[in-house]
Amino acid sequence: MPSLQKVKDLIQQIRACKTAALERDLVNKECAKIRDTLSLEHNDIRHINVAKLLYIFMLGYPAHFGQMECLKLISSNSFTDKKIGYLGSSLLLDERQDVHLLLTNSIKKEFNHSSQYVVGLALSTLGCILSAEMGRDLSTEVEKLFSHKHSYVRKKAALCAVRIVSKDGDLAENFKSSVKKLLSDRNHGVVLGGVALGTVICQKRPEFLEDLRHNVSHLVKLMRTLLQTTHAPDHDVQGVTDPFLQVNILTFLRTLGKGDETSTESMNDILAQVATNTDSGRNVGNAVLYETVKTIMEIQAEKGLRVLAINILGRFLLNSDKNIRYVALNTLLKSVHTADGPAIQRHRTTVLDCLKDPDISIRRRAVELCFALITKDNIETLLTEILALLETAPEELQMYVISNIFIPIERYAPSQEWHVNTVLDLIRTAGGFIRDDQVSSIIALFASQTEYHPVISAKLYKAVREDASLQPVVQVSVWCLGEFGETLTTQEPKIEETEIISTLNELMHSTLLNSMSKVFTFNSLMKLSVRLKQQSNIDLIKCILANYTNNMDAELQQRAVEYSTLFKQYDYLRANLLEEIPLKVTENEDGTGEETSLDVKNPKNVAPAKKPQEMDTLLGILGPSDPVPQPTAMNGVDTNNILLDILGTGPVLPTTQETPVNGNDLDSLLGMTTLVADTSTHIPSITAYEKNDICITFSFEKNPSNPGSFKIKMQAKNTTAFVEITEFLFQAAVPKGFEIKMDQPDSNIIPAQAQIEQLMTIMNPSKAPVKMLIRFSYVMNGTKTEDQAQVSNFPEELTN
Amino acid sequence: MIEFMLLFSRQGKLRLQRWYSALPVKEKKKIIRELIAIILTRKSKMCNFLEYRDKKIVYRRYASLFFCCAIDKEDNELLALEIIHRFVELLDKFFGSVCELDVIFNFEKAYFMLDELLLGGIVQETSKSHVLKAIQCQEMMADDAETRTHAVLEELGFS
Repeated sequence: MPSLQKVKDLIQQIRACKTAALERDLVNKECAKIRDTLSLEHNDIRHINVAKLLYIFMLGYPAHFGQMECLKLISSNSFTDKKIGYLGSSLLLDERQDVHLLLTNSIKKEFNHSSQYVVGLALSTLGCILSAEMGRDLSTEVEKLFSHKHSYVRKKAALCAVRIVSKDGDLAENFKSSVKKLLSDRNHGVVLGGVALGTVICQKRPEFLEDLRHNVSHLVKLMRTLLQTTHAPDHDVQGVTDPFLQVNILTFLRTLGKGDETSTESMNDILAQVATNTDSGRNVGNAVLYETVKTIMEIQAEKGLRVLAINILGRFLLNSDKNIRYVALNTLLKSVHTADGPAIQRHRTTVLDCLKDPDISIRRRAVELCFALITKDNIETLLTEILALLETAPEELQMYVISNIFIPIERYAPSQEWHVNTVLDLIRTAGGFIRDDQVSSIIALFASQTEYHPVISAKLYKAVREDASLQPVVQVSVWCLGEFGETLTTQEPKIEETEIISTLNELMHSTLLNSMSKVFTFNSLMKLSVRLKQQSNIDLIKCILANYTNNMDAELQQRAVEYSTLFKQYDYLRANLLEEIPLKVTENEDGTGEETSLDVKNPKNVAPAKKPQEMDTLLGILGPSDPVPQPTAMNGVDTNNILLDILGTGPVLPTTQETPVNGNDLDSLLGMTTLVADTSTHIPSITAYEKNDICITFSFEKNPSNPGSFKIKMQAKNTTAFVEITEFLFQAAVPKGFEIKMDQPDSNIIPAQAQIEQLMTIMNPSKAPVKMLIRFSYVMNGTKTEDQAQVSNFPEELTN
Repeated sequence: MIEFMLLFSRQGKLRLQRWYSALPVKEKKKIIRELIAIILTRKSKMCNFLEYRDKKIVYRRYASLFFCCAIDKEDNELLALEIIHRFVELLDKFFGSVCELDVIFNFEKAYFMLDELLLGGIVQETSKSHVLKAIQCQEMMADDAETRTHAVLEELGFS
């Protein structure tokens, strides 16, 4: 018979273990003992063993062999057994379905127990380990408990219902009608359960929102009662009556009021009351205020109320409690991009003060908010503060600032000088965190600012002299030195050419730089070989390069060999090859960001100019009152003569049958999409040919900017039921005075019942009536067929 | 809703864990390990909130014990602090100036207390006296059972 000790003794022993190994040993021994005792089925000491297991489990050891023991304890009649049994089930049970099923049955039985505390235990455990399946099995029983005579059970049942609905929204129907009853309960716990249940139903099943909105007036009344109660010792927390209930009601009101004007209006009053009357001296009052602010911001509350909310957050920012400052910054950050932005700008100085906060998470939030607050008018002051923060900020924050700062700087820079100086400052303070893509855009910026080249080169030279370990700084600096480093030799303090070269040479020897930075340095030296004047220095550069022709680094060696050859055999080319880099035509992130970004945002900003012409074509189309008839095939009528005639005079463009080049393909694709859209409304399409298993149709699109030209989309359809057409070749000729351009077809194979497309552009400057001769050939079932036709039934709109 | 509540000591030893959502044991252990590491390295002047995965963690230190809970992104952090505080107050009332040892040796009682305050991660009782009354009643019911067990133990020869 194994000896048996109390739980406390075991805990004492485990705590006395000096090493982890000793502890493990002890636990293993104890577990073995527990298993033995459990197998003896001593019902009266089972709960002690399970309790020990629970302690062992908390230490991180496996204890799942106790699961079944917990279920046995639950079915015992002793209350202590039940308590430990339920506690054990809620801790040890995992997703094992079979155990869940057993537990579901025990819980179901327990709901009818005479003691409210036993029912309570079952509900508490259910709240912890509820799965969607258990929810489905027990939802009716839980709903019945809403009418239990003890509020102790009612409140627990309400919260279990919350969990059931949040696991499976389909079950919301069972509980929807009970919300009202729960809200009218006298017990605060039950009311809170009702509020939570209502909230979760709204979240899971928005279609029930309308039904639940009937409760708004009742909730407002509840809120008012809570505010007016001055003496409630049971629920008072530092002068606030039941803050837990208040916050939950406010959350529910927010869910109900969102997007509904009537209910929003009915809660405006009470929100204003909470906002003005709650004591903000303690955390608990601020918790309520914070929830009120969130509700005001999220429902369409009236403007005055929103300003009040922003001002509460402004006061929060001045609070001595760091937690309150943190939530204020977080909430402001959420609403800064809404209509409340201007109201938030008023608290800018307070936000700036938070940049100096000792708590890094607050500084981080404050920086985020600062970025959001940057406008054209305040960028200078805000950037001064952010730069000051950078000086002392930890790396993580520097990294965040650097990766976010360039966009606002480019967008709002008041002057080029400021722009250049700010970027130089950033390189100096946190240059190590600049990303590769930012390196390129900084280089582009510096290159474009020719008048600041002396300043830039001087500052960057200094930066590299001070710290040559940061790749981005070195890359930007040496690029600039190579491009306009000669400016250093002509300004004060004067730097000798030799000095520049020896600095760059040192960089080449540095072990801290990666090969990318060294290639930058190489290029820089090479460029300086045509910028500097003294021959001795040029020889020096040659020497340095020559040293690297045997370098281990493939990229460096490649460059060294190339450049040395350039010196030896193609010296006459060197000056031209190494001319100044042409200024980049900036696309987005660079100097002219503002203009291009306008284009990006408004791609139609050239459209107004074209409008009148579009109107013309539209009028032209609407002009003729009777629609153009669409005759069918026109071939067969002495086509041969005409063909000769046209062939003699007009150009014939056979289509090529090679694989389409990507670009062309894309063009035609783009062309086609517009074509389809337009022709369907403007110009009627025609059937140009329909015979011998082939049907060719033309659809048209006029070019609004050039009335003399239009596009034809040729569609050739294989009308046979099963036979494939291959080697389809389509040619077209137009009379003199016309010009025709043909794109490649999308395929030369037409499967049965399918079609291919080909685009043509016709230039018709004289606006003569359009005629066209078409000729095509294809192979079908191994035989080649050829045919031709004249097309003259073009719609009149094309020549109008 | 509170997703889980953890109590751990300044030495990083877990003292209590209550999960209101089903996660594999492995995942739970990982979260516990990570959070203890993060929170213990935070300096005292930092605020009591941090973002972790898709949750917000609210924690507060009382003497040598850290109380830590995870709430949803849109939940009220300040109220979560109040909930933690309420739990501490209740333990304090129950044990009479509670200390870490009380929670270690009577961990099951700490669980019962938490289960009377929260259910499924939501506050179920906002009155301190109601919670304490419920706990007392259950203690009395348990005492009856306890005496019976003692009798059996003595019968079997362990005491």
